[in-house]
Order: sequence, then C-alpha cells, then structure tokens
Amino acid sequence: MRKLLAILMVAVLALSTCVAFAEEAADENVVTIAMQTSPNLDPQWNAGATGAWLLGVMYEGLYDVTATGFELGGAERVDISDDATVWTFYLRQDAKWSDGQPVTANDYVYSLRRLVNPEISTTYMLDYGQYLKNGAAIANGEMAVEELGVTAIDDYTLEIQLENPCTYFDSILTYSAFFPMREDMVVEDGTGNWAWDAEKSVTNGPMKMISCDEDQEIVMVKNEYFHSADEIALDRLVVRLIDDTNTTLQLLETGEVDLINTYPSEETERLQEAGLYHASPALSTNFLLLQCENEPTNNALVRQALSYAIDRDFLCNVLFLGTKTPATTYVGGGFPGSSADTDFRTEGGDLISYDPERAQELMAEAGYPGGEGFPVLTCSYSNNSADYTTMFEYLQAQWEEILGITVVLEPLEVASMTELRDAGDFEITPQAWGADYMDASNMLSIFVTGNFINGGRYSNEEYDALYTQSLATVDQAERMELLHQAEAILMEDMGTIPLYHSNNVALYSDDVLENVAIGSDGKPILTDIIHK
Amino acid sequence: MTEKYDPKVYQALGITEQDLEPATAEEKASNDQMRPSLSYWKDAFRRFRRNKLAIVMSILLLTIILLAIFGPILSPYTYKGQSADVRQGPSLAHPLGTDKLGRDIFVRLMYGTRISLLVGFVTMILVCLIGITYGAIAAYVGGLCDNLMMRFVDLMMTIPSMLIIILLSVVLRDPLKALIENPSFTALASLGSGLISIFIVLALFNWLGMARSVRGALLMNRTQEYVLASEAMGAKSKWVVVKHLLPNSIGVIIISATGVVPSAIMTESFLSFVGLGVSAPVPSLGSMANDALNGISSYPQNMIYPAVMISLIILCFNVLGDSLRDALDPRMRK
Repeated sequence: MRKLLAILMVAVLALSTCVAFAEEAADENVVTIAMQTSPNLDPQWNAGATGAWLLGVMYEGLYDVTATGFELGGAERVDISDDATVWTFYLRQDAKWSDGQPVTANDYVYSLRRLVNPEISTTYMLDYGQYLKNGAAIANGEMAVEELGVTAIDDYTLEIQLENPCTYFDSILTYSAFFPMREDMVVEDGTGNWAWDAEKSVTNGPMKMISCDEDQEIVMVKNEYFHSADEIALDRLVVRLIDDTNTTLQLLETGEVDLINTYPSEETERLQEAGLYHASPALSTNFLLLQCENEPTNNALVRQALSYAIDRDFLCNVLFLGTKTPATTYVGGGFPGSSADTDFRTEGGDLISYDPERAQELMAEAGYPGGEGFPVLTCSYSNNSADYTTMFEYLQAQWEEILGITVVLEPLEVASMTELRDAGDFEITPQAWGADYMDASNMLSIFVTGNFINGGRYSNEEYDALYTQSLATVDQAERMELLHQAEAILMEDMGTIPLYHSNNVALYSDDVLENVAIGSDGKPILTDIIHK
Repeated sequence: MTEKYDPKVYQALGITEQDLEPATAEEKASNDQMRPSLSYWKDAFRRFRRNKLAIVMSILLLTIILLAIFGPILSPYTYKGQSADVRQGPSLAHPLGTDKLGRDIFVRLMYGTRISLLVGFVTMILVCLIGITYGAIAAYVGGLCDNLMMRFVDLMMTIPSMLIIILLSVVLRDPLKALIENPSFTALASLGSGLISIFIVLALFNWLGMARSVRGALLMNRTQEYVLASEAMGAKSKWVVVKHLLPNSIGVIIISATGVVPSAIMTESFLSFVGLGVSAPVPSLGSMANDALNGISSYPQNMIYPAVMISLIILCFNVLGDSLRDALDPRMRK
C-alpha cells in the first residue's frame, strides 16, 4: 500500500512537471513580476497603484498611456466642442473583448453609469463621476442614473458631455475608472472580487487573465482578439503576489522574478551598485495630514512652525539615500503649466523651506514659547512602512529639539490606520497622493472641503472658491493662475505639510530584460518588455 | 568507670572485659559530627560553585547587566541622539557603528538590553507575587477551593497565550496612554505605555507555572511532621504558611522564577519585533532586530548584534536556572 502510494506520488510529480513544461513553450516571451497581494482588478473599485498597473494591461480605455504621455487607444478619433464640454469619440471598429465580441459604445455607457451610481461606487470613484454632466447630482441621489451625460449615438460613436468645460479631460480618461466594462460579466457584491474570477474577467486590453489566485499568482496571456496583438511583445505575464519585500528582492536576485517595484529601502545603495535600481520621478507628493479641527494643530501658526522645523533635504538625501525628491511646496514637478512647454512648479516657485529660527518664532507667536504648554503631539502611521518609521523618528527628534515639544509615535496596523484616518481621529498622519492624470488640479482637488483624502478636515472657503472657479475656466493660463493662487493659500494655511516626492522604482537586471520603458503614469509599460 | 555488662555478652563476642578501652574525647566528638554543619544556603552555594559552566554564565550575565546599566551612562551618545553620520561601520567613535538615523548602535544595544532585563525582572517579581499567593492559598486551603483554583489554572493554560498577549497589548494601549497622561502618574510616563502593557500581559500569562510548582511544593511539605506539630501547638494558618511552608519551598520558587525571566525576555522581543512593544525611539532588542530587517543583506551586522544579545541573555538564564535547580534541590537531580 505504501509502495503504491509512493509510486502514485512520483507519477503525479512527474506529470505536474510535464504540464509545467508544456505550458511554457520554448520561444514564448514570459515576464514574471512580483507585487503585493490582492490587487483589486475591478477597474472602478481599484484604488491602489498595483491594481492600476495590472488593469492597464488588461483593459484599454479611450486613451492609452505611452512613455511620453498618452494617445488615442480605444477610439480612432475625437471631436471636442469649442467650449470643451462635449467630447465625441469614434471608437475603433476592430476592438474586441477577449471572448471575441466587439467593444461597443454601450460598454462605455454601462461603465460610466456604474461609476456615478451611488449604490455601487465608492466615494473615490464618485469623485471622478463629477466631471460628467449630471454626475454629481446622480451621485447625491437627486437624479436617475440614466440622465448621465454619456450617450451611445451608435455602436461605435460615444458622446460624453461634461458638467464644466475641461480641456484636460483626455488625461483624466487614461484612468482605469473610465475603462469600458462588460455588463454581463460584472457581479455587484460591493467588493469588486468578481474580477478575480478568470471566467468573468473578460477584458479588451493586450493581455487577458487565464488564472488568478488572489493570494499567490495571477497569470495572463496575450489576448489574441486585441486589435494590435501583433505589436505586443509580451506573450505571457506571471504576477507573483508577495507582501514581504525581503522575499520579493530575494526572488529577483535568484532570477525567479524578473521585475519588482517594491523593495526594502535600506538596500538601495547595494541595489544601485548592482545596477538593478531604475527610478524615475513620480507625479506624487507625500505629505502630512494635520487635524485642523482640534487643538493644537488647528492653529495655522503651529502647523507652519512644524513645517519650518523639517529639513527636507537632509531627510531625502541622507536618510532616504536620495531616493526621494525634497518638496519645496505641495504640487511637485512634471505638471503642465500655463502653456504647453512650461512646468506648473517652475512657474509657482518654492513656497516652503527649512528655517528652525522662524519655526521657534512662530511657536512663540502661537502662544507656546519654547514649546511650553504645548500638549503631547501624537503621530499615527502604518507600521508596515520602513520609510515612515525612519521619517517619523527623524521628525520626532527635530520637533522635540527645535520646538521643545513632546512627540509620541504611534505605529498602527494598516487596517486600524485606515479607519483612524477616514474617521479623522488623529493629530498627524502621513498620506501620499499620486496624480491620476497629468494636471495640477488633481493634486489640489484633495484639499477641497469634504474630500475623502482630506482626513484632517482642512477647510478654507477661499481655496474652495478658487478651485471651483478653476474647474469652470477653459483658458489654460487663467486656470493655472487660479490653481497657483489656491496652492499659495494651502501653503499659507499649511493645511498640509508637504514632505517629498517619491520616485517610481523598477528593479530589474539589464541582462534579463530589455526594452523596459516607464510610462507617463510612472509604471513600467509591461507589454513592450522583452525577456532575453 | 566501666559499666558492668552481662558476662554472657562478652562470652558471645569472644572477648573479655579487659579488651575494651574507653573512648577518648576526640573520638567521641568525631562520632557526634561526621562533617561540619552547613546551612541550606552554604550547602547550595557549595554545590553551585562546583558547576563550572554556571560560574562562567554568572560572570557573563553580571557583565551584561553592568554594561546595560553603565554603558548608556558612560557613553557620550544617547539612544535617541541623531547625527548626520548615518549607516557607518564600526569605528573608534562608534564601536558597533551607527544606524540609519545616525544613532550609536552600541548605546542602543545596551539600552535595549536594559529594557529586556527590566522586562525580565519586573515580570519575574509580578509573577512571584501572583503565583506564590495563588499557589499557597490553593495548597493550604485545599479541598474544593484547591480543586476549583487549579482547574482555573488548567483552563488558562489551554489558552494560546501569544494570541491573547497580542490582543491585550493592543487593547491596553489606549487606557494606559490615558493613565500615563494623568499628571499623578508621571513616574510611569518615562516607561511608555507599550512597556507597561507588556509588564501586565506577561505577568498575566506567566504565573500559571509558578502557581503550580508552589502548590506542589507546599502540599509536599504540609504532610511533614513539623507542620503537624506546629498546628498541634495552635499555630494559625498564616504562621504555618509564612514561617514553615514557604521558606521550605524556596528552592522551587527560585527555580520557577529564573525560568520566567528568559521566557519574558523572549516574548518581549517578539512583541517589539512585530511592533507592539516599546514605542520609538526607545530601543528594545526586538525592535532593533525589526529595524535591521529592512536592510538585512546590506547591513547584516545590525541584525546580528541584537540577536546575539537576546541569545546570550536567554542562554545565561537557562543555564543559571538549571544549575540553581541542581544546587537548591539536589533531590530533583536525575
């Protein structure tokens, strides 16, 4: 009996190896990447960067992200009305879903109605729906979903009406929330977990998912129905889902994984020397949210003092080994300015600096000379980020030394941290915002009164008014001027303390992969990668 | 002055009365006492001293304790003092190098050791208080009360303690934080809420073994005649327990207590490692190991220092506990 069992087991093992070999044909271009577990693969429920990366290869929206910006993808051409409120897209007639059915304008209509449907979408998604005509009213339950300003004129013509003129709506459309979806496949259970089912996941992008174990591995192969399938270099994409960064790094170094984008930060120098480290600036800002409703951080002077006491150059260049760019104000570089070839940041200049003496003066002005009478300040942050641990231990030392206050650090589990932040139940907490599209307004939108990221409840009527006015402004130079004014108010109030701009990091060996280009959204363009 | 015995005795032994000589005073004395009288402690110390390993470990432990106490005091650096000299290797100025925030690792290691030892000893004291009282009551009262009390201990033992410890240390944080912020408890504030909650949860889950051993030892001594005699003379229970039973069980108590220390240090290191222990910037051996994990391939030494320290302390206490058992309670020796 035992012998039989042993033979059986050997047979099974041999068989499984055969199957494994059979699956990977000889000249297939297979790339294996690793990322954190459980990316949400519902294009509209996903709010994480790793999920967005995969969605980008699974789906194709009206626009595609390229290395330099974006270009029309699912549409052949677009007509934009003079006031930039009506966008008419003529869809590609050769676009097909991974089951062979054609992609029609109705798939877009379904998807965009789902985006604003208050019974389905999250607050995050509803924010995007507000660009669409009647989107805000539908989200508030004042109008029926059918009244959304998105109509299918025929199978291949899609008309999108906007609530306000928006010249940069094309960059917004690159975001995964605007991808078309298949009504007959989506299961509404309030989680987006249906998208982990390979049978339900019918997509229109270059790759399609063939198997998904959301805690272990996702396998994708080239979608043979994709209109430009011949131009896609990648045949098979294997995504290993691993949370521990030490493990992913080890897998990369032993060659089991070809490309990763998170790693233990203290290894930077070694990885740079080994030539594995490839970084490009990200359109994002890491900042501190401050409780603006309660003592003592509701005092703008205190918030300013805290900001002046931070040496961001030291933080980024010494402690973070140059892997981050120090913030000189809230919006970072890389956003278009008042004309096509200017940069929003260069126009706006630096609005914050390191000045310990000024910090002490402001503290005295706020009524706490030398930190006297200042209550204990608690910083809450998630305990799974080594960067935050380093940063807060530095901030604690700086603030205690320069301002003479007592700072307590409170590292928390990710889940309780999220809860705390959403409830606004904190004094200081870190937050990062990566731009979903290339416009400074996206960065500034999150400090408008009531925005869900704005957990510190910062609120300034003047700021809100300038932001709202910018939404209704078509002229680029005029719109940028309004946004500059808004940013200046945010920095004057110090409604948030900007810290640094992070980089998009891709770790891979040039000996293994070639043609790795970073898209304008900061993520490596997977479909072009060639495994040597 | 020879005594007269029955002649039949001499006859049976085949000797005459003249063959016998009176014993000298010296001979008498040696008959009275074969070896010098030794007190319990002297005897134990004699046996302990014969164990070379135990001596080496005691010296090592003493060195570690002294370093933990005086190291941070004598060093020019503090455990939280940051500098621009980050991530340096060992040098004259920094014997073990500096960490990612430019803090001297030697001082942090010594301070972390201090925290670990503090946790070990405080837990031991708390465990002794709870365990001895509980075990003594159970043993002396006996009967149904004993039965109930010991079943409660059994019940507690079935609970996976690590889970409860993690849960409790999360739950206790906020109430303790409020307590610390209360001005009348400023002395506690320097310890931090994390450390106090560790004391509490460790004491809550480590007294069980102590209670059992104390009860066992007391039950054994209770049946001895001297206890019966004492009770017969009208001694009250308190007198019997405190004057007779506990002092005669001291060996068992000391052995259990030395066993508590390494397990408490290990648990504290584990909790700090997963981020539930002391709050930054106070270092503990566990949190230092956790910090080092982020750069384990580039700076493996940062992981090795706290790991070696934890191992040494635990080894010392385990060897010490073993030798103490041999010394204090030779009957338990195999």
